[in-house]
Amino acid sequence: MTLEGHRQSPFVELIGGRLEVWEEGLVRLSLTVEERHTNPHGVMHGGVLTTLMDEALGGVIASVRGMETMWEAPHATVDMNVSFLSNARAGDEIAVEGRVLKIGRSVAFGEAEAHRKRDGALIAKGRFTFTIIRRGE
Amino acid sequence: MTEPLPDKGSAWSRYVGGVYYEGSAGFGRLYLDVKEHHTNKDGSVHGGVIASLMDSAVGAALHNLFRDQPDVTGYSSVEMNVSFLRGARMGDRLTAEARIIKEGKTLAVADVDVLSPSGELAAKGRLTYCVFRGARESER
Repeated sequence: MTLEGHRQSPFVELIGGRLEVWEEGLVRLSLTVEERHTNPHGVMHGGVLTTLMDEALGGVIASVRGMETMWEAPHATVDMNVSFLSNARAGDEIAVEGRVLKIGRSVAFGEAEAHRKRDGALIAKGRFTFTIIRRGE
Repeated sequence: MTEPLPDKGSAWSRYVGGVYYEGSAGFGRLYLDVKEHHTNKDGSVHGGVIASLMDSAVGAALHNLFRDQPDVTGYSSVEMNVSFLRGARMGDRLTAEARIIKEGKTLAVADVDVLSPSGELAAKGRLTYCVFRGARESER
C-alpha cells in the first residue's frame, strides 16, 4: 500500500501535524508542540492529541481497507475514549501512532498511542470506533 | 515473578468464576471458562461477564503492583471503557491480561486484552482506578 490517493485532512495541516509513516496497518503522525497548542497551564491541549489520534486511526483503517474501498464506503468516527497519562509542553515533539484492532462489515475499531519523543513516555492512549457508511443500503 | 494471590478476590469475582493464573508487578492474567450461566439468549457470552473479568484482572495487576507499598490502603475502579470485538461461546476459555500503563499518586490506568481460545482479541478495555493511600476507610 502506498500513499497514493491518501490526503491529509486540512484541519490536521492547520494545526501542524506531519505524516511520518503511512503503511498498511500503521500510521504515525508527529507534531512539534508550540505555544498555540497549549491550554492556560502551558501544557498541550487534549484536543490536539484527539485530533491527531482521529487522523491516525482514520488513516490506518483506510490503509487496511484500501483507498478505493474507502472512497466507496467511507468510515467515520462514532466514539472515542482517551486516557491522558502525562503531558507535553511547547518545544516537545510528540508522535501519535494508530493501529487497527478489528475491521468488520459495518464497524471498525482502532487504538492509538501518543508518545513524547524526548523520553519516550506514553502520554495518552485512546480507542476509537468507526462506522462504515454503505451508501444506498 | 509468578505467585498466587493470597486471597481469592471479591465475592463477585468468585461468583463470576475468573481464575487467577499468573502475574507480576503491574500485570495480571486470569482465565474464565464460559458456561451457560455466562451467556445471552443467543448463546454468546454476556458483555458484563467480560467487564467483570477485566475488573478482576486489573485488580490482580494492582495487587501485584501495590503489595510492596504499605501506604496503599485500597483502590477502586472509577471508569471503564470496553470494545467488544469478537463473540465467545459456551465452552470457550477466555484469557484476560491486564497491564498497568500509568501509576500515579491518586489514579492508576490499566489496559486489558481479553483473548479467545485461538489467541484472537475478543475485547479490549481501558480502566481507571482511584488509589487510596494512607487514609482509613472512614476518612475517605
